[in-house]
Amino acid sequence: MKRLWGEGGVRLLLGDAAVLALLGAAVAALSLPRGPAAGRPAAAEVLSAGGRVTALDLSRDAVIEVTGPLGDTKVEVRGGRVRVLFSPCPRQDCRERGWIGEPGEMIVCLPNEVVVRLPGTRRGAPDAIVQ
Amino acid sequence: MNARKVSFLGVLVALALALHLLEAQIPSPLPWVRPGLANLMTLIAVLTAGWRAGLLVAVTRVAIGSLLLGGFLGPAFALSLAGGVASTLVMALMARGAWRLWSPLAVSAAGAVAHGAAQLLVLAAVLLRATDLSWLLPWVLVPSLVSGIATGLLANLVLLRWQGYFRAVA
Repeated sequence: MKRLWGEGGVRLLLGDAAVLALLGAAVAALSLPRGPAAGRPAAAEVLSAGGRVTALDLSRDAVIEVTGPLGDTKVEVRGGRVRVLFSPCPRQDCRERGWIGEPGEMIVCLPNEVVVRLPGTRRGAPDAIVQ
Repeated sequence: MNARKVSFLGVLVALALALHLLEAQIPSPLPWVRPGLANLMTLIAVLTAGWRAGLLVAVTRVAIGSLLLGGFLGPAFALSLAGGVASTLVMALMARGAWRLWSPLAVSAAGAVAHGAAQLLVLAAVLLRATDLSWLLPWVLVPSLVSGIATGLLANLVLLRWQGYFRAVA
């Protein structure tokens, strides 16, 4: 029995420490981010003309070419993110979209029929911002 | 249930309501984070008069509290009720070891974590239709644990200081 404060005092028992340690451990375990994959996707999907789907490994930096009706779109992977490096389309919206790296983000090029998509869903964020 | 016990539980509900209304006035950066002092009365009821009494105090407090503040039967009410019932049941289980294995501190802390977890579960599963809210866990459970410890220390103090009173009325 351990008195901490006041006339009647506070009586703490050994079980208190045990229960608190257990609860602390449970809260900590539930609070840690789950798995290494939590956060960033490991691969992007590239959809091109005619409905072809190509998986693009995000762990390796590369530039690939995707052929569409207007010509070749160059898609670049660097540091786990993707962007359209070059596009033969007139408005260049896809190139100006810049880098994407979060789950659920995508770049769409309507004229050259190229879509770069990251799997997953986005929480409360806008679908896209184009300047 | 004799008249003495009825009046005792009435006092607990009244005190719980007063704390509930007081807490609702405190602004908080995380709107769901409350000191949880109202739960002190549920804890005292569970430890002195049994789990049924605790459930009665918790449910009555949440119901009348939402009638007074608004939102009765609304989403916030559902969350409060889920949290109140879950924490009362966990505290009732923990109460079996109270003063033997552990003190009301442990009972309160376990109840508070159950309160937070149940609220988040109901929010994610029922109100937001299976949204993944696991990223909110630390923001709910850590404050829960802290407030549960504070309430538990207070309960420990109150129960020891008014031992004779509780023995006479409950």
